[in-house]
Amino acid sequence: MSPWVLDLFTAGGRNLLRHKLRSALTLLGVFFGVAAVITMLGIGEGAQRSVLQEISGLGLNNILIDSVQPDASQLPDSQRNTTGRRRGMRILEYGVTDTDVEQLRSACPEAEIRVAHRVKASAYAYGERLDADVLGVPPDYFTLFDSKLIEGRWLHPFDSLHFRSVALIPESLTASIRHPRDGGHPHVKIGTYAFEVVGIQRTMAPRGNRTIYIPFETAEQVFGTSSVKREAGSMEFTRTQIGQVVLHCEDEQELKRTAAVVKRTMERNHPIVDYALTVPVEILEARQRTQRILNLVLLVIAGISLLVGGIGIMNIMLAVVTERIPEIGIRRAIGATERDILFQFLAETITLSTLGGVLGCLAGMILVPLTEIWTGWNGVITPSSVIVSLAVSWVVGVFFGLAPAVRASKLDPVDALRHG
Amino acid sequence: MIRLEQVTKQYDMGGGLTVLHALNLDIGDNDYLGILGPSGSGKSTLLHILGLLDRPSAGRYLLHGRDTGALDDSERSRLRGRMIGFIFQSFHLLSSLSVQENVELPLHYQRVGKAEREQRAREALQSVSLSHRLHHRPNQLSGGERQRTAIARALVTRPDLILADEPTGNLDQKTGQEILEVFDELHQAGKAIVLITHDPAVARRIPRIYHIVDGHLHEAPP
Ligand SMILES: Nc1ncnc2c1ncn2[C@@H]1O[C@H](COP(=O)(O)OP(=O)(O)O)[C@@H](O)[C@H]1O
Ligand SMILES: [Mg+2]
Repeated sequence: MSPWVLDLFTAGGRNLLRHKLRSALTLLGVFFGVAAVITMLGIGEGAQRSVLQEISGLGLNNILIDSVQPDASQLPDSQRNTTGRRRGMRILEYGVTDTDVEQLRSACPEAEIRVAHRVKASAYAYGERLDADVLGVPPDYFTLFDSKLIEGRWLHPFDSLHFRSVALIPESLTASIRHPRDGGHPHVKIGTYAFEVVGIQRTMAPRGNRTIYIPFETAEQVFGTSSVKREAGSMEFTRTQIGQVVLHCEDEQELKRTAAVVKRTMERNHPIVDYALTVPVEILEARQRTQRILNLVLLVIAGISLLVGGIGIMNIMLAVVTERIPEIGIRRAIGATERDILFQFLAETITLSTLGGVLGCLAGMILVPLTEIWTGWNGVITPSSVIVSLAVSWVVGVFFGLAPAVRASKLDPVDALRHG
Repeated sequence: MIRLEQVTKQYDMGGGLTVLHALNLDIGDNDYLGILGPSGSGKSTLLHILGLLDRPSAGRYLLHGRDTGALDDSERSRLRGRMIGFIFQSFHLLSSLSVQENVELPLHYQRVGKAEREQRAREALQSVSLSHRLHHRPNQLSGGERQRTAIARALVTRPDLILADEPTGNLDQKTGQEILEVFDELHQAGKAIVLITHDPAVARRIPRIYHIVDGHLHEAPP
């Protein structure tokens, strides 16, 4: 910065300091505006990141199909479940079938496909029922998700080969399972069978923190595909061939194409919707679209408060110019050009708005963590949001300072000198 | 140094008020001239035109042979800052600045560096015997001291021409005399001075006197 510009801002700052209260009140508008911008950008960014994190955990390259028991009302009469009172008992069959998987395999040769078996039995540890699903999975299931082994080992192809009764439990269940009395491996009971816990994992697979994983083959052999649910005098028989299918495509285009194929195949094979299709990328895109709209709304609100702040500054500066007409005349008489006067007042407004901006930034930096505490939303202050806010406050200064400054500079020097 | 040719000034409010009528005036490099006239006769208007603050409605103003009518605002302002020093009846100091800062101010507009500004302001204040008041505010000074500050401010740019608009008008007799002595010194130092007054006692000290009557300028016999 040239010494002249420095002088300009020093003089501007000194003038503002002479009217501390007025300056403080004047910059309040920009202060709140910028604090709002920072906070909103921060919360918007935080929301964006948590969405990204949440969804990308599912694997942005994955497509998930889960079998879902359809709503009874959706079923045709022949399939409608029968209670014990109406004797004709049938088995309710639903969900993804082997045929679906075969068709998908041939229609999407590029996609890696993993098939999981949903075990309908409950899991227990030391007599206590665990709040967990049980899923039979191939050993390479976890490579498709962001997964981490905390302790022990992953499932191994040998486990499947030998139908071993081994289980991988989520980190969240560690406390309810570990009872190292005799030094041996802890066990969980699934249905009536004991499974040895060989590893503890942390995976982003859907419901991964509430799922006990066992080898696919073991699940199929031990639990089969049918299940009976007994409930207070009623019995429900269901059969699901396949609990979950995961398709994985490395390439984004390939993923889009595969998603379309999967949709078409499943719609064709399942007129009654007994499956849930999840394409994380699509969810992400949808969420990001809403997020963008939300951000826009927030920014408009912040923009309005900045506008109001700017108008406040302009208003005061116009009054200041009027108040200082004699001074302007004097300065013109000793050699100030129109531009000198223009820059003098502009510098003052910019100093004011930038100061408001800086203080607003600081307030935002305090406000964002506070909002986080109050609402549990995530907030992130990025350097870019700070730069944007400061730039905006600067622009507000220039924009709203221009009218008063131009007015000051265009005053006729003689009129100004005769004034007062 | 300065030549006015047929300079006319009129304000066009309802019917038009002609304040100056086709004035002709020559000011040499070391002239000291006084302009006398009753209040409202157009003395200040003439001074503002001479100081490039105002433009004549008609006629030519030549400064060092150059027609100032063609100059734009920034050129006029720069010329004003370099060549002309204004001194006013009511001092016109900036109350928010110290004496020294007031005197430095014209140098700001010539983009003179800080060190040189301070140095030259001190010199100018010394020449009007105000070295002991550098950091006072104008409102802490007496009228005479304020006017001497204003003179220092006019001198700091080393102008060719000093324009003084009733510089003793707000001062008592004795202080006024002291200020007029400063003008005498400036004249001896080679400056050109135009001093406006309506006080015949002041006019008596000035070698060359003009009267403004009905917008016309009459040179008084020496
Ligand atoms: N902006 C203006 N519009 C109209 N009339 C003006 C304006 N400025 C000055 N005048 C008139 O011009 C005349 C001369 O004013 P001025 O030069 O200040 O006189 P003096 O300095 O001799 O007292 C006065 O009658 C004044 O009313
Ligand atoms: Mg006057």
